[in-house]
Amino acid sequence: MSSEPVKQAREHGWVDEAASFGRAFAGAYLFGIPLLFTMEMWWIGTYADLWKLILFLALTFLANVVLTYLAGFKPRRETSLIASIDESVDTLAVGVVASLIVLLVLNRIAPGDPLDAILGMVIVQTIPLSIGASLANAVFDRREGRTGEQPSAAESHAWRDALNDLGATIIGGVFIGFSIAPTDEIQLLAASVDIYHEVALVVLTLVVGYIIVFTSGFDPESAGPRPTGPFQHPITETVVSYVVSLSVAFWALYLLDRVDFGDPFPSVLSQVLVLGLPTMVGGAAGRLAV
Amino acid sequence: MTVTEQRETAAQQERPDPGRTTVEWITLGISLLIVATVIGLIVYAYVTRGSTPPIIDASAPVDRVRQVQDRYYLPIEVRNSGGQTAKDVRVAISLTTPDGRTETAEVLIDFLAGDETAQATAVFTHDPRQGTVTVGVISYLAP
Repeated sequence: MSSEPVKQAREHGWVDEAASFGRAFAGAYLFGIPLLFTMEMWWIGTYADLWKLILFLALTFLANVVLTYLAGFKPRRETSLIASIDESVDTLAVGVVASLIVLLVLNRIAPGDPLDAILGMVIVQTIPLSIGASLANAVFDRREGRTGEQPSAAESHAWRDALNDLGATIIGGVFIGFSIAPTDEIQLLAASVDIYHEVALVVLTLVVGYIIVFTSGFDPESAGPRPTGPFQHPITETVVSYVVSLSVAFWALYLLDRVDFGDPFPSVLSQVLVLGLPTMVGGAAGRLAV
Repeated sequence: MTVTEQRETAAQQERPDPGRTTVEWITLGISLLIVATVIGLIVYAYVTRGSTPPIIDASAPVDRVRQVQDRYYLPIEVRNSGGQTAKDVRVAISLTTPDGRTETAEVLIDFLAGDETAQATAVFTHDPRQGTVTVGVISYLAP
């Protein structure tokens, strides 16, 4: 770990590039997750004219050029128009991939669907997702973040840090979870996912959560040893925050009368898993904010 | 365009200011490929399908009726073979039994994209296999 900053100063290698793209995906999902769970966005994609899709891409690209000039997602060495255009192509591609993955996992698109419906849905979601990717540095490059609390006395405060993280996860999860739980999208999505989609959803949620957790600790200045508390290892933190997110998702659905204790278990489970993705992203955002 | 050229460029820029490295060239190439593929697919979809108005056909394969207790589940397939998407597609299904009684069912499909087939099910109390089933598209909205 200690040789990492030296290596980064020498050359921008695969590790740094992977971290940069992780940051781009994290930014994309933080910014775009509510719209991925909006059915009007799916509908627009179904019937939008093809020329409009080209226009959407062009306008998003222009917005990305401006936003990557201001923020971007790569460690900034210099700001130039060429570098911004490069990054904008990257964030556009990140948006396309991020949107394709979530729409496939949520069964909004399937391999046999008409091509223009798939294109429409993917591109409409690409707009917010790639804007989020272009803003990633603005979200994650915070000096006073949780990683900025210098881990000098970290050992003794491990449990306090863990409790802070737990609280922030719950607050962030409640913030996003309660705003999405009352919508019809959750039941609609839950009804349309089968067991394979559910497994993919669990994997996707964990991966997205891990990427955000990892990215939030990416700040090169604090790349030294992280606190060794029980919630501080990235994988542990991811799994714990997923369990917390699923609980928040369940209670949000229960308190808003979307599920009840007498309901058939598979239906409750799929709703909780579907809501678990935005709740997980919200929880990660909460930990970033604290 | 070749990889060696890119390496040279990267190496040249590395000394004064670490510009674009090989890795970044590769990821930029992949990103360009993804974006170009998407644009290419839009053009392809536009060229191959055009924008003819919706043409909607509905059919009810009577041989695939499923019976559970005293209900008969008749699958309905609604296909839009036109180019444009149809919204709120209404399909009426009526079953006339041999003794002259008529049962009706109606299906509403939110969105039916060009070239898309939607699956629905009509539920009757009489066996569709022993009667006459008529399926017809009643209406749709232009989105």
